[in-house]
Amino acid sequence: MPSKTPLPQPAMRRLKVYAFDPNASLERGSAKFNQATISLAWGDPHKSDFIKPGPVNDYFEVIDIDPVSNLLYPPVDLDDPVLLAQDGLPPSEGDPRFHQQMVFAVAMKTVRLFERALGRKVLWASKWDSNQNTYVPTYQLRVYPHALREENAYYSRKQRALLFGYFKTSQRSTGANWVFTALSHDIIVHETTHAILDGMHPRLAEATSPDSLAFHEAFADIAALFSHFLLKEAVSHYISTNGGKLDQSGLLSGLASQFAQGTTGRASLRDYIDSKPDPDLLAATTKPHDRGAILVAAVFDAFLSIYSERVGDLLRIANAMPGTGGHLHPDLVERLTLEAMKTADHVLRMCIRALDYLPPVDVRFGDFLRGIVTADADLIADDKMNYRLAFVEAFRRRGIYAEGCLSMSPDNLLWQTADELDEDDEPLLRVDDIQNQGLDLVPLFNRKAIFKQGEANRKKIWYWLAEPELKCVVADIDESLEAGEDKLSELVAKMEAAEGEAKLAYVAELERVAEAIRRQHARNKGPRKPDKKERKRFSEILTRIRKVVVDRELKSIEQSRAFVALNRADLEWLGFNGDQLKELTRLLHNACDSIKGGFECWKELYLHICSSEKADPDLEADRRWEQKLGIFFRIPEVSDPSAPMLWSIRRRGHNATVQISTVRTTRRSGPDGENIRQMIIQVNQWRNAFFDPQRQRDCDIGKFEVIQKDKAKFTPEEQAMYEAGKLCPQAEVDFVFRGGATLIIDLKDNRLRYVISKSIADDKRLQEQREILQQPASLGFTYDRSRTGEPFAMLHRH
Amino acid sequence: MPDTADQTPVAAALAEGERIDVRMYRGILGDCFLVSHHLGDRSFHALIDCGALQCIGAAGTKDNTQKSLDRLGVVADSLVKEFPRIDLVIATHEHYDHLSGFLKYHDTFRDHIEIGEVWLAWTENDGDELAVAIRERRSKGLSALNALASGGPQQLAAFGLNAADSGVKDRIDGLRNLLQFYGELDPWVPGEAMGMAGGKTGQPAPKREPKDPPRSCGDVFAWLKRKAGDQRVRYLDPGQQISFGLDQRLQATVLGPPRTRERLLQMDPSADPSKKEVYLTSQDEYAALVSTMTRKLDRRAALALGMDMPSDVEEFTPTDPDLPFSDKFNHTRMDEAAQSGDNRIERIAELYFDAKATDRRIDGDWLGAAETLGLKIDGDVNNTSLALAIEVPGRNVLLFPADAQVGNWLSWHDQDYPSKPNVKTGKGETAADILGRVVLYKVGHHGSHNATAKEQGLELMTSPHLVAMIPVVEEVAKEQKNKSNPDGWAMPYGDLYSRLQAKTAERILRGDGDLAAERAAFANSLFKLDYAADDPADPLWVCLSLGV
Repeated sequence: MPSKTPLPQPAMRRLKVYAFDPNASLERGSAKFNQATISLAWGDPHKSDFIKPGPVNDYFEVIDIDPVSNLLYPPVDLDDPVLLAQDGLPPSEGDPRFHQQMVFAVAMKTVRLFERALGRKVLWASKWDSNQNTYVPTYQLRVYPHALREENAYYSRKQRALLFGYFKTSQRSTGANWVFTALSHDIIVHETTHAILDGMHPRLAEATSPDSLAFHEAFADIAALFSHFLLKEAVSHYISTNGGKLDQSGLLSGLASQFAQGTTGRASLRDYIDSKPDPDLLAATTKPHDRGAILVAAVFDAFLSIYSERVGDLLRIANAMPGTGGHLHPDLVERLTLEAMKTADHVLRMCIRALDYLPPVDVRFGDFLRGIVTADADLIADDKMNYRLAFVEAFRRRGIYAEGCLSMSPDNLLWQTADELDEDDEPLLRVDDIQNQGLDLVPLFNRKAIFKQGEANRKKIWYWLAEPELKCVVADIDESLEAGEDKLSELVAKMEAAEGEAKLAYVAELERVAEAIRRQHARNKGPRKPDKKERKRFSEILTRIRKVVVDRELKSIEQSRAFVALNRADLEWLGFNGDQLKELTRLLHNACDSIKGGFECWKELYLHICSSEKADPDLEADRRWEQKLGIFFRIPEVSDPSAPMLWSIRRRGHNATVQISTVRTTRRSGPDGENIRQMIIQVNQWRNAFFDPQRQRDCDIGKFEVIQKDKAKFTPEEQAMYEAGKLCPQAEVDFVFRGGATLIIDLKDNRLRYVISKSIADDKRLQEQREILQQPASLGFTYDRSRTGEPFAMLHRH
Repeated sequence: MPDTADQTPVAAALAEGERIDVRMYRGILGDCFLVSHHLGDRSFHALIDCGALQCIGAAGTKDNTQKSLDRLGVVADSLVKEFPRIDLVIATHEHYDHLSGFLKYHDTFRDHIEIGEVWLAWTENDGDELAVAIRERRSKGLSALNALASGGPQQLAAFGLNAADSGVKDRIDGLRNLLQFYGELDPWVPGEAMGMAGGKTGQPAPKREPKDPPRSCGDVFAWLKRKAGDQRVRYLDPGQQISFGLDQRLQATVLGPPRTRERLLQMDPSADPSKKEVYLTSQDEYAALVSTMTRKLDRRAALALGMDMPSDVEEFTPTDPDLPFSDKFNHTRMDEAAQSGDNRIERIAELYFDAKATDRRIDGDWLGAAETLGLKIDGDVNNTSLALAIEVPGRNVLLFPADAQVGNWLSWHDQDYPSKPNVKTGKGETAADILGRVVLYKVGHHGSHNATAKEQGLELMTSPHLVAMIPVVEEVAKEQKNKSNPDGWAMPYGDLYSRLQAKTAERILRGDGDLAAERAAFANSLFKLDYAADDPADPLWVCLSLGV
């Protein structure tokens, strides 16, 4: 049989796009470089990154439906040999299939940009299914290239989709009758970035401070802006015409030029070469887009100073004065272009890496700066090129400060490490038992598998964190001591039998031994600390029992018995005697049979475990975690005057709820081959909040209870309580206030590196959020709260 | 005429005790002001607006709003009884909360009052090409929005919308709230040309004739014009200065609305974001919505509903010029895509119509544009507010900006005001000069956040005698809740209110003000404070008198 020799696979799939937008092709200056080719990994058709007509792949479903025109445009098949041979369709406004190709290629490019910097796959925001108590994954983000006839494009959280609008324009400067936002490179990157960021930080879309919405916008602009600098032809053209300088406003520093001309007649939607940095401007600016512009300008400024630092030597060698006109040598232009591209790449990566080092709620610009500095310092310890300093300087010039930092030096801006030790040189906050939770940390490449793994880990971490801390107690059963006592009685017998000198010798010996035993007793008073092995054994038993309860693994009483029998040695080590084991068997069976929630069942068993000799609740450890995370596992007790009263964190008449929104692992490599493996956990909690401070106080001290019930459905008793002010339906709670923390765990040594938190008890933040939410509504509603589901739709309707 | 007419006016004034009264009717969310000029036994009365917010919503949900609207009836009765002749009516802009008195209590005004003269902004002039263009565009936009908002489930279904969908419902509710400022609107005609894209039909739209009795704010303008007689209607341009009042001793300076096409219609390349707000909604935005709605409208359903359909609005054809792509791409109708016979298209249709992912469809998302447009039109109308500075003898100024928003305020500085040139420069006065002499400020838009300019407005009012009147009832504003505004409107807006308190040393009168507090604050004022005697606890009006 003739054997078939496989053909070598192509390395890349190349797709043509507009580098800017169709308008840039109309000007002689920019037409030369307005066509770019994006290279995407060539997918093996048997693997998941296979591209179906649409294009539809592992990440995106481009659905070219146009509800306004009542049309569905034929999907492009990128695997068609005709297209493969010519790098996809050539750029054309008149062919919807090219629109599909461009929107897909640019969105994919953006995804890759993030994946490379983050060291993991991008996952989209998932949908919470409250019936199943689980997140339903969004494997593919939808992309609608012709969703609206409107001067608008946005990322919709509800639909988990990118919606691009198109419109007819009467502004002649656009050079077109119809303007398609799906053909603007900038708009595609901007919206895709919103989606990526939302997938990473689902709580950042909430309006908690003037910075929070601004940050989302600014970050999307940063990504769009720096993606310009990855287009070699455009950068090179720009550098040669501007004599090596980059700080002139124009196509590179502006965003969405055709869109802006079509709507407002301006040259670009936003231009980030700012005239003069003003340290007081930020404090006086409240509009999200304006505030965001200050942040983007700061990042752009950092980029410019790093660039000029990097090219200083080249310009000296060439004896060229930047910006003085005069033609630069083409080789120099080439080198400068590479430096500009490299710098942009580094700056963008620094910004993206910082995303993992942000608190999960209420991000301020200062937090972002600290995130940038810390993430960079972790990966690249020695900042030879002073990148971090360039960022700090640029931020400081614009009045962006980090709260609670001693000074604005890069050292002081690092997030504080969470590695305080107790008196035995053990970490105060232990995470070493996290490995015993049965987490799955195997690196995966398939996004479906990654999502499943992340969701399973999320649930395990939730139990690990939310269940009350137990400590392992080891009573002292020193065998040498028993031996000593045996020896003592032996000596007594010998002494009694002896006579004369021998007896005296025995007495002296007896006294010596008794003294030793006394001393030993004194030393061994009370339980001792468990050692590592014991701790591990202890947490493994707990995890095993919890797993069978939470996953309802024991289907019959026989299986419960078998489970107990199998673990008998460990359970007896825990101190369970025969009767207790019987009770445990019964409880296990009940729990697995119960209709109650997993946590409820686990709590019953947990109490039973506390009755064993070795397990004790460790309230102190719980407190330490609470303080560090800025949330509460239990409602602070009245007897503790230092703790705030926070009944407002109660849920459905129960205790406080803690949410783990994401758990993910990353692997990053630094330039010198450093390798970082981290697990990043986002924890948060919410609190019922009121505009009226008095009502807030009443809720906090438990004067009334918030219940999840419609007022119309109140029973007469509830109605009476409601009228007496002791009950409040959820609908009358003004808003939700969140606190929480990002935990960064180094997987190399299982140590907690950072806890970046925003406390739920922080009343200053609460007040700030109140102010933001109470900003004028008036007749022309400027801020629409009901659209919290679609915050980006509002911001983009300019 | 008394023989004082022969004396010099100044001497007469001194002899007779000249006085200006500014009366604000209380307890309504809306503007109704009466400025009276007294000289001896003669009086001149100017009425600036007379309206209160409309009350739309289920019975019992907006008790205070209904109360405010009912009270407007009492105001109307009392007005006509006390003043059978109003020398001048100033109608500032086409919003219900400024004009509804003439609409809701029309008989009262029609039968019992004589109107001397009517002043309107140039934007209401039917002989002004620009004004007509702006108004027609707006009116068509409003009609289109109204076709959506006033329709029941059937009509929404004709637009391909599901009335039961909560997202659709919220947006329609939002639209209804915005449209309550206009009263009855013109019927919408699908496919109607907006001067450009979206138009398929050459026929002009059947224009709605003004109704008598008035049923919309536009009708009120028409009625006022008729009532006064064309000869006695003035359309005011910015920069214009008019003497009026007894012996022409008062002077009105017109500050806004801006006149130039640039300010109103064109886009400014200026980077200053604050300047954006002056621009009226662009015609592209109107066209986009009209084109969307025309496309979405199911012809048969619309005809069944009795909607007006021009004959040339056709069923779908692939060659329709209103489609973005050429006909070769227009063969698969969305609703037939699942059975198109083309495998690739069917795959995509399957994804879109997947029954498990209905929440990810985008059928109704175009409604967002309607809501945005509604908001913009609302701002546009506020920006056509006739903003007047009334100078009284002694050069003090009373400022009545109606509901002018930031754009209108900023435009005041575009021109100077020549009647009394600045002594130092020899040029006409600037808006800043005039604002520096303001002693009474009628707070714009019931004290909302966006109708009092800061640096170019309130901060220029530097007179130590400054007082403010806010025609607001906070309880009514708070009732204007919907899904978008769960706490109602912020009127007066906190930050503005505290700044006003500081600027006026707390000399602020409100439509729902506390009488004792107001009396205490005005103990030391240029003005004398007085209330109507009808109800000592809640008098119908409050009045400030300025002896000249």
